[in-house]
Amino acid sequence: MIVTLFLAALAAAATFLGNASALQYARGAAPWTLLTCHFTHWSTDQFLWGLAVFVPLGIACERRSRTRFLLALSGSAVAVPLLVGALAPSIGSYRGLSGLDSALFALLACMIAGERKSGDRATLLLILAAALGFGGKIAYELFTGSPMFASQLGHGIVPVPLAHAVGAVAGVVAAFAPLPAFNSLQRRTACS
Amino acid sequence: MRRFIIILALALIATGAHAAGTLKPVDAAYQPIQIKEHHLAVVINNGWARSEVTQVFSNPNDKDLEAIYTFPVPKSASLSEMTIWSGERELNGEVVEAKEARRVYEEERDAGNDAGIAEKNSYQSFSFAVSPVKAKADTKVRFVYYQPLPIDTGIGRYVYPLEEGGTDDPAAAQFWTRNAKVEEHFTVDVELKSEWPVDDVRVPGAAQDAKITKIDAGHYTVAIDREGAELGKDFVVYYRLAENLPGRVELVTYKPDANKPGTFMLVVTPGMDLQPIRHGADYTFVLDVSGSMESKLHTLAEGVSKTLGQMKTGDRFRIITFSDNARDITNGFVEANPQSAAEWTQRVGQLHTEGGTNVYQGLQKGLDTLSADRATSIILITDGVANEGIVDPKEFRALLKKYDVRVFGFLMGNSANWPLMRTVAEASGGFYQGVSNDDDIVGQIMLAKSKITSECLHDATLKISGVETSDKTDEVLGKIYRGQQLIVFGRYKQGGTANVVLAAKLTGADKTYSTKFDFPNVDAANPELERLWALDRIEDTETKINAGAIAEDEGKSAIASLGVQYQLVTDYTSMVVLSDGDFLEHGIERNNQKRVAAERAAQAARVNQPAVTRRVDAQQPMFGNGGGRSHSLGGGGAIDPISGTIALTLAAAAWAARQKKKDGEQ
Repeated sequence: MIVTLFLAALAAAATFLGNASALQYARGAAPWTLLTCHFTHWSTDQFLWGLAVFVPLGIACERRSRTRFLLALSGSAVAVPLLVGALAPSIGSYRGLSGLDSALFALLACMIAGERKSGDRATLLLILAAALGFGGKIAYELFTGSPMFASQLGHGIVPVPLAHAVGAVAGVVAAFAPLPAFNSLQRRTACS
Repeated sequence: MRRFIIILALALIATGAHAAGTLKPVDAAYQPIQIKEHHLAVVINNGWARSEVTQVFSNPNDKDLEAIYTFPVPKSASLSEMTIWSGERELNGEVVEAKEARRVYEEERDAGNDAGIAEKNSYQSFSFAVSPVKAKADTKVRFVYYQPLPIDTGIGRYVYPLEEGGTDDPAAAQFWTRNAKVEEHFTVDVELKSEWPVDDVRVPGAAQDAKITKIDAGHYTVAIDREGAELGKDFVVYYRLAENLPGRVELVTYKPDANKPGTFMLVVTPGMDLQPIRHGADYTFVLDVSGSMESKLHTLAEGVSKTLGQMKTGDRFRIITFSDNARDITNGFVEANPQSAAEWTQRVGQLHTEGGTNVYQGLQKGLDTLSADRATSIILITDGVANEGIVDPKEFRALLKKYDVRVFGFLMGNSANWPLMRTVAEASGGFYQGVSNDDDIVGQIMLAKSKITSECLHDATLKISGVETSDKTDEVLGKIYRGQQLIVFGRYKQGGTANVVLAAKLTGADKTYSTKFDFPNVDAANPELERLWALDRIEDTETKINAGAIAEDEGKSAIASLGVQYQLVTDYTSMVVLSDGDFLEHGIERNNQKRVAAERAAQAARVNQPAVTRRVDAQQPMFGNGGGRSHSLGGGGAIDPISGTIALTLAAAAWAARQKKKDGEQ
């Protein structure tokens, strides 16, 4: 959980002490902003919601497999701003942890699915419900182009469901990526 | 000899009356009155700032004294309250015509009663007289003023002026700038509330001891607490809004009664992208090298150097200096290239200062030998009051109307001639900007350069229809520069749906931006707006007097009438401070008391509220759906309550599964 807590502290420092304009991702901005944009935020609300999800999901994932946890974070960190930049031309600048949150959500769902004993229908149903809820909301917002909740980000700042979708895909990829190290997911897959 | 006599006379006249930030006995035989405490509390919200200054003075003499305190007039400031605490008594101010206020004050003073007066000395200073300041006792004085704070290229700027300046006579300068020391505490508390995210807050010159606290994305506080501080330097705060905010229209209104007219402030932040000018242009720098510029010359040279260094191939520049007379030091235009920029940067760095300030001659020199086929901009940098040669604003206006040029004025220091510069900028379609010695001066000049060297909208007009409006800022806006915010004050008869159309020309093509939104029929939240509107009308009237567009007597009468009705200290109205009984005795109505009560009630209601949304074109964005410069919005991954609950449920399930597994293993 050390990496999760370190990154949470980093996000707090970047949000409240950092130069947000220098840290956010914008087209043509310095390459390091691909990584720093996730740690700076538009508002305290956005930061608190992002952090409230990041810490428990991060701890749960990191305890299960730090390698996959880091793979999900690094993959989504790079993919989210790049794809938002490429596929959402109206978005000039991007900030927030929630792309990473989505990656951790997807990774954890896959990990729990992999861990569950065969015949454990309750866990399977829970995971399916969570995935449908989370994914359904992203899909709804992507297709309708409007958020389910009024923006708490500030005026002129819009939520980016695409970031969540990209993050979730990165999480799934990290869960199934072949790794040299032995892990519970591979074991479960091998056994089934 | 004549010069010496003038200096001596100035010094004698000024005795005890004009040191910035100090309260001095009128009779110079007594010891100066000490400033024990000086507190500044500022709230920046809704597009304007409210500044409250509280000072505690101590009279070390054995005799009661009359004392005078002067304070440089901040730009577009409406002085609205003055309170004096003498012992247990609280005295408050009411605005009446200047001569009447002076008469009442002197009558009360001569009778030995507690009294005070606040007067405006043209564009230079407010002066506050208090009598008596009791022997060996403290007197507390408090005043409040409001001023609009436009955002320029995403940057807001607040200046609390303390530094005197703008005289060309070194001896007088030394006398006038004898700034006072605060014996105990000098504190500053700024609260900034912005509905748009603020990325950064800067306090140049006070970075060491200014405590900047971010409370929320658009909510910051700045605090300073010093002991034994000198009141010789301006206090400046910059705040930078997040990048890529959308172009927008914001509306603030005050209409407490559905059956009476209301007041509005419409703020338009253009969202069109004004591109850099690609073809070559001519730039004439007209630089003040009079005596008072000595301490600022280095900064001026640095600003000019940065600007020269960024000129493109095809640009030309010319440098005129002026003091008593004007001189073309480049002998005509010079082609801009790295060599010429380096050479003239060095030459500007070697300039010397001397003499008075003949702005007219400097401008006149800058206007000769213009090329008819090239766009020319004049960049005028001065700190002084025009005190040599022609000083009548009408003559300046007549001179500029003969040429097709734009004048961009930078006024350094606090005593520069704002009304004259406003006339010059208005006559040429340029703009002017104040620059404090404690500003990021180079940054200010660079910001202005981005305007000068970018396309601008021409022949702009802003029309409101559907709602009956009156007494508003001129709808003919002329030019709109990159990053410039438009602020329109006015009155409206009844609420309803208004159509607002901004029409202009951009590189020859007609451009029209429009939107539709509602004016409320009742809104009691912003009573301060009436004073800001009245001040806008007063400044407009002053500009018209300077331009000869209205008769001087008619203009003065209109200003006095607005001053009394809306309780503002102007050149023709003053605020007299008396006890309740004395107001009754003199038959002075308590109009300001009523206004202040309404303003304080509104401020108390706002104090714990976040910044209120003022954007009115969100449903029908005036500058298109993208709504922003380069059509870009800010974006962020946002976890909402549904996603958050699902994710946390999953995390709980993961924890439960792990516990179950552990239990199974045991």
